[in-house]
Amino acid sequence: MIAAIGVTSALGDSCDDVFRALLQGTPVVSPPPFALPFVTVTGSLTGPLDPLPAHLRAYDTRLARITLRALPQVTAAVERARSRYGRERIGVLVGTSTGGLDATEPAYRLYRKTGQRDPAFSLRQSHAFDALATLVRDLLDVSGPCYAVSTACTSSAKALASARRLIQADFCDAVLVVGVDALCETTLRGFHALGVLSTQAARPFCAQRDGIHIGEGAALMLLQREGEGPAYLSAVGESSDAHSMSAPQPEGLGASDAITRGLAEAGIHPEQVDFVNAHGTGTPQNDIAESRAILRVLPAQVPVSSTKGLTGHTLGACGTLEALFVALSLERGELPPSAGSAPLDTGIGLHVLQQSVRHSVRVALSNALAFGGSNACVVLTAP
Amino acid sequence: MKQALTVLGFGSIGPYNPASHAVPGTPIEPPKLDLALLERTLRRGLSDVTRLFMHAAKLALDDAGRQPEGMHVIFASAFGEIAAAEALLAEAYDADGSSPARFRNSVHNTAPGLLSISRKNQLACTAVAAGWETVPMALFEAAGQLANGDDPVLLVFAEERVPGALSAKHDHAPLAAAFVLTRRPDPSARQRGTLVNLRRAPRPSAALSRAETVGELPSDGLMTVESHPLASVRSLAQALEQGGSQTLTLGEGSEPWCVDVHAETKP
Repeated sequence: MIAAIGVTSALGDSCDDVFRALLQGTPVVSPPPFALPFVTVTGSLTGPLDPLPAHLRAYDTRLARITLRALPQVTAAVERARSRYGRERIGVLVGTSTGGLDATEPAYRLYRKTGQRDPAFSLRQSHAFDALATLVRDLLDVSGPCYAVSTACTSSAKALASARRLIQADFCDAVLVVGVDALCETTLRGFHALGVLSTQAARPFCAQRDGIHIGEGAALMLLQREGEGPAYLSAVGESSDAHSMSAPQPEGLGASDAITRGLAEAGIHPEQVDFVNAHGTGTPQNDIAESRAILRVLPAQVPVSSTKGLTGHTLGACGTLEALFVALSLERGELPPSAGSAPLDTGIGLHVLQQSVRHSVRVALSNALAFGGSNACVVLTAP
Repeated sequence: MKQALTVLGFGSIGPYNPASHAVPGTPIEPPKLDLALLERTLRRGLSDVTRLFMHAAKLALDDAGRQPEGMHVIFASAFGEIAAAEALLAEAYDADGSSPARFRNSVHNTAPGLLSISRKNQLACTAVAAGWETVPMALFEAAGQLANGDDPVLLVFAEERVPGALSAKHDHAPLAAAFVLTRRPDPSARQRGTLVNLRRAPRPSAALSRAETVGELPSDGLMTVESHPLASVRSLAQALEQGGSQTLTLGEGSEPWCVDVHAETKP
C-alpha cells in the first residue's frame, strides 16, 4: 500500500496544487538558474529553497533542499509507521541520477580556480548518491536498510521495485522511497551534447516535438505492508533493452517486456489497464519506440498521457514523481492531458489525451526508460 | 535474511595502488584486467570502475561455471563512475563543453548496462550505492531480488580511485569483487558457501576493525586513506576462500550490519 505521498516540482509544493496544474495542462518553464552556452528552458522549482541547519551543512545540497521541502508531507505517516512497526523495520531508499552533483560543481570550480577546497563540501555527505538517504533516515529516526538506486532516468521507479521487494522479503514493514533530482549544469550540458535538448517546453507525441527540457523535483512515497492510502503499488516490471547506452531500442522491445513483466507480476490482463502515464520524453526516437512498446502489449484505445511537457524531464525523480501523479488520478478519478501534444504525430498510434478527462481508473501504468537500456513499468491499482 | 543465499562462485581483485610505481617494494602495475565479457566495440574509453567490474564479474562467473546470460546483475559502488563525473566537470570548466560519449557512460548503471548490451541480456539490471554500507545494502538488494524469484544474481562491487580534484582524503585503492548468488542451488553443482541472516550487528566487533583496514594502501607517504567503502567485501571474499564458518561485520558506523558466512571446505 502507498500509505503517504509528498511532492514538490515546478507544478507546486503539495498534491493538491500539483494535481490542479496537471489537469490545467500549462507548462511551467523558466530559464536555467545558471549560465549555459546554449538556449534551453527548465522546470525548476519556484521560490528560494530553505538551507539546512548549520549542523547539517555538509548535506546541504540543492538535492537535499528539494527533498526537505516535501518531507513534512509524509513525516506524520512515517512516525505512525515507526510506532507501529519499530524504527528498525522502516527503510529509506533514494532514487536519483545526479546525487549531490549540484554541490560538486561549484566546489570543483573553486578548487580549479584557487586550489582551495570548499570547507562546506564533502564528497561523502554532499556528492555521494546515498548521502540523502542517510540524511532522511537520520532525520526520521529510522534504521532499516538505507541506500540509493541510481540507474539514470529509471532510478526512482526501480527504487520503488527495490522497496517493494524489501517488504515482500520481510526485511522491512515500511519503506520511504524518495525520487529526487536537482538541476545541475552537467546534466544540461550532457543532454545538449547529445542533441536532445529543446529550446522550449517538451512536446511529447507531437508531430513538431524536438526534444526534452530538464526539470527537477522530489516525490516521496511511503510504502507500507498494510494500511490505507491513495493506491496500491501492485508491481514494477523491469527489463533491459540490451541495445544501446543512450538510444532506445527502435521497436520498444525492452520497454514492452517491462510492461508485460509488470502486468504478469500484478496478475493483471492488458484489457484491464485504464490509463498509461508514458515516459514520453518528447524526443523523436523515444516517443516512437515507446508507442510501439505500448501498442505491442495494450489495446490501442487505452488513454495515454505524458506529463514531461509540464514538469520537464526530472531524470532520476521521474519514476516516483509520475507514479505519484498516477496515484492521484486513481484517487481522484481524473486524467491529465498530454501537454503540448497537438498536433499529434500520426505515426504514434496511441490514444493520447489532449484534454483532461474524468475517468474512473482502477489500473494504471507509469513507464520509466533510461540510459543503459534500463526499463521500468510501475503498476498501480485502486484500493 | 533468514533464508540462505548460496554462493555459486566469487572472485576479487585489489586493492592495488596504481600510483605505486614510484614506491620501491610495491607492485608496479595492477594485474591486467580481463574485458572478455565485453565485445570489442564496447571496450573503448572505459572507466577504471567499469573495467574492474568486468574483470571481477568474469572471475565470479568462471568460478561458478556460468555465463552472464540469464543473470540479474547488480552493480554496487559508493562512488561509481566518479572519474567520468570529474572529466565532465573538467570539460565544462576548461572548454565550456561536454562530450556526449563521456556523458552517456557517466551514469551509475554504465557497467551493468554495457554488460547487458554486450551479451544481449534483457533481464533487469540495477546499480546501488550506500557509501560505507554499500556491502550490506547490496546484499539486501540481492536477497530481495532472489526472494522475488529473480534468480540467479550476479552481484558486482567495484570502486575506482577518486580524482584528487574532488577530494583529498577519499583516495581509495581500486578494488572489486563479484559473487554469483542463488536461492535455488542445484545440489549436484559446486557451491562455494552460503550467506545467512544479514542483520544488525550486536556491537562493533574485532571483525569490523579488520575489515576497515583491508582497503588501506601500503604506507607510501603519498596518500591519506580513509577506511575503504568496500573494505568488508574483501573480508567476505577472504572468508569464502578460507573455508569454515564465521560472522562478519559489514559496513561501519554506530549500527553496523553482520552476516553469517559458511564457506565450503577448500577442495
